[in-house]
Amino acid sequence: MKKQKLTELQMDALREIANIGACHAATALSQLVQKKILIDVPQITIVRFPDLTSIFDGPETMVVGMYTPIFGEISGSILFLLPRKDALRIVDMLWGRSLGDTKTLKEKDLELLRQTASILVASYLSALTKFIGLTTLASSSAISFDMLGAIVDAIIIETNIKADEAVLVETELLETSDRVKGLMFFIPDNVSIDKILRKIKAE
Amino acid sequence: MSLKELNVGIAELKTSNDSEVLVCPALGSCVAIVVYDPNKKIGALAHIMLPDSKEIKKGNKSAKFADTAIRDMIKKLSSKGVNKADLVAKIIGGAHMFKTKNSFVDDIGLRNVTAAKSILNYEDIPIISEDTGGNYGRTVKFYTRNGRVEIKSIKGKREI
Repeated sequence: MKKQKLTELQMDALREIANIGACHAATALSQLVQKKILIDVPQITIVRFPDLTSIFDGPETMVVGMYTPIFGEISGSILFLLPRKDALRIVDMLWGRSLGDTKTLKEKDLELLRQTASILVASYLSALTKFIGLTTLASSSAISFDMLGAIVDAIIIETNIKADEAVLVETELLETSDRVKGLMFFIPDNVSIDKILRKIKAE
Repeated sequence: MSLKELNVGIAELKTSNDSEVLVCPALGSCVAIVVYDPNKKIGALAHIMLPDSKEIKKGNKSAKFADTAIRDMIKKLSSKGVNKADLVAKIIGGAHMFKTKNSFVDDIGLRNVTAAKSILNYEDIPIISEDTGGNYGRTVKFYTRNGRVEIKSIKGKREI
């Protein structure tokens, strides 16, 4: 795909795929934290490199980013983002603590989040693979607790190093009773987008 | 005197005078290259994202790559009456944000820093200080009036 001019139909197709993937990831998370997790309608964002971080508010916001490179018939990456306060709550839930007990993110908390992200990504990808029929595997996940801008610049550049823009398929995961939310981004490289659209006949 | 802050986004390049501050929020693997004349108090900052324009096909912004950005800064500063021999440089950023065990992605931050250094070296512009690498993001403020660079990160604040 030279220029990312996606038609409505193609956007719908990508949204549908993300919906299926995120639905499975939400189920996995729900089992881990023993709470109900809902997902929002996926959104497609096409970012051009000069304004990567304008898709979020405040590039200096502290977030936990969990990055998983994916490879196989679809390549790219999956990024799971949790704003700081939401990360603290998820950590509470995962350790079985009362909400508000975790005040800072320690090394072992980050390791727990990293492993959680691996599980979510595996669920996301297995659903995706089954639905599209393109085999995709996850590499091991890496985690960083830092400024949003710094986290996304690294990932988007590395995923789409030769292109001028990247397609982000974003789904919000929401835990309603305590209002904890996270964002899951599926970032296929440009070649993979073409493959996906061809495979599901949405060219 | 209140200083005017100018934001320099990814793949952008801006020049500044002594009443201005150039700001790069949240650099990850990107690198901020600062080039300035300490006597005339005129400078420029480029927020580059990739090391080499020759790896990519044409039609891209010059400030996206270390090589073309540095040459563009020299040209822009020369047109403002700055002598190339009076220029000094500072480089900031180039972190490796995510260390994966079996990553097939190479360290683009390090490649950016290496490229910036070798081109500045080739152009005979001395690098008087740097704060690069690591695994954390940095916000950079460059004060053209005294050449000071303020860096804010999870490691705290520092000046170079």
